[in-house]
Amino acid sequence: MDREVILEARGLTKRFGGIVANHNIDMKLYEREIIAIVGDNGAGKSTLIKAISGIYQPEGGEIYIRGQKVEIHNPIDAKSHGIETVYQDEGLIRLFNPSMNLFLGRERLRKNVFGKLLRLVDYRFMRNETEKLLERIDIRLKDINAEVSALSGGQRQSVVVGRAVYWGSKIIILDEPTNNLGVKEERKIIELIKTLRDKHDMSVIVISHNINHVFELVDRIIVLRNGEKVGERLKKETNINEIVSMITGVAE
Amino acid sequence: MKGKREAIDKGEQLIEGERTRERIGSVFNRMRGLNIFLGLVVVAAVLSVSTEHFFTAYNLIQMFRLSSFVGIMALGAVFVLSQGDVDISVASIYSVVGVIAAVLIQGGVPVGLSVLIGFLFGVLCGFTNIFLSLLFNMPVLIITLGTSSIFRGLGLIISKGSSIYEFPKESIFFQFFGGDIGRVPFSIFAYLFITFILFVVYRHMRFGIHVRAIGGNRRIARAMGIKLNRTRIFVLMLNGALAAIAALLNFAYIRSAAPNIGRGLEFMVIASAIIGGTSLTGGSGSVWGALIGALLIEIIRNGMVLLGIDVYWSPVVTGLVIIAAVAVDYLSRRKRNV
Repeated sequence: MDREVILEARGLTKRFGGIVANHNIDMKLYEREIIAIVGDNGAGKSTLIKAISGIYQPEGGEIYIRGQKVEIHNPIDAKSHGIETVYQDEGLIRLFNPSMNLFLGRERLRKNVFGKLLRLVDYRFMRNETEKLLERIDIRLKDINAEVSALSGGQRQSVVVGRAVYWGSKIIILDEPTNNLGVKEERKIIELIKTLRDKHDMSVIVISHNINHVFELVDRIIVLRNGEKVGERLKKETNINEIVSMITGVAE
Repeated sequence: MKGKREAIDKGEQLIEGERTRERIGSVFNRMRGLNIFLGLVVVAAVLSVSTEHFFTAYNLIQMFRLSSFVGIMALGAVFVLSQGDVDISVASIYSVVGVIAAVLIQGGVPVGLSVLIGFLFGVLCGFTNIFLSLLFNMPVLIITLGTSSIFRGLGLIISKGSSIYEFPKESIFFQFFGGDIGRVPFSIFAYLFITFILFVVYRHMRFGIHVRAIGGNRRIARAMGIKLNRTRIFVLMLNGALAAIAALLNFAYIRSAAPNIGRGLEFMVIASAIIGGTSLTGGSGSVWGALIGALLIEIIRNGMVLLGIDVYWSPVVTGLVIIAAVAVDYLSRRKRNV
């Protein structure tokens, strides 16, 4: 593969008391690549992404971004290295509208003296930017000013993904992106994730239980079992049966 | 093939369900601010027609003045509740600040300095609440359960339990801050000015967004890089400062202070904020709503007096209004699933 490695983890190890949730895991993510991390419940998928996104501090191992070793102590560090994580519970403030969520913590101040001295925010700018962004990622909302709680699950996922696109993240981690969605919404999210790679030059890590979606979406699959990496396969060189037997540890 | 068709149908139904929720959510959202204002207008209209003295300049001004003390503290409650905290010590801060200023003046300390020390003590009370909350990692509500008793106790100790009156009348503090401009008490101007400033802070400053974000979802707010502790400390200090301002305006007007004033006022304060559309569970609120909420409580009390209803019924009616306001907030949240 001639593409650059954008994210690499070497020897990641995370323990919870006596339980080893991740043992010495190596993984690579290339530019413009979608990979899946699959495994049974308790295989260590969530622990692995939480270590990369700064929620957990691993006991051992290193993380490299474009070959440079980085220290990720918290989610803000991860964001500053261009890693955005989208969890099942979405990471949006439900009482806020999409625009305020998009800019939360990075609000745009007015360009005049009020913005400089009083730190007044520029709602109009933020709303316009949100409209442009939603158009760019092909999401239509009935009322852009409605609070996020009024949106469907898929629309909320889209807003979070859109936030990563807007702020120029290069790596996005999606935790069960198609869970609890209607059929149409599933399609929409799958198309959106493909767009991230094809149009926005992003790299994506997907965690999913849905092996069909994984096969439709990704370029490469990493399989974890009991906290260890048991293997990885390029999608075009494997099939569902092989991956399932790797997940369960039962030979065909 | 048939199975696939069914799955798509099911998906459509789910989406239709989402849409219905969406409609209910946005209607509720838009109505909340308006409801309370309409309520106020209706009550005022009914009282104007049914009583002789309600709609007179004097009565309206006095009602507004009386509501301003609870109202100023309710502005603080909007911020505190919005960030997901509850402070029930404001009424005690209100009493101790007045006592401190009064005792200092009688002890010969210049009036201006006494008032300043009283104000700073109020800010310190607010800081103490949040400091203890962060230190012991306990909710502000629990801390203020204790500090409300402590602050009031300090007022009793300092004043030896008795009211304090007789002050130098010629002082600018009593003349100006306790006086009228035209026929309108100064405290009303101060109240409106503070409300406007805090409205800008709450709605248009970055700080206000962060306050609401913390109450909306603390975990997400932190993940987005919002400085949680700094914001919460500032809000609780602001709350103490507002209780102190209310106390000092009241002190200037009535020219006396007592350690027992304002007992039970903390619930009127929180009620005003909630009636005005501030959520008891954090994340959203309205500064102007709190002003209207405080006024509505005062109008109900005033109206009952004018209608000749036994004044002892007024807390009962106020309580019913509070329950209605909380119920509206709770139901709208449950419908919107937040």
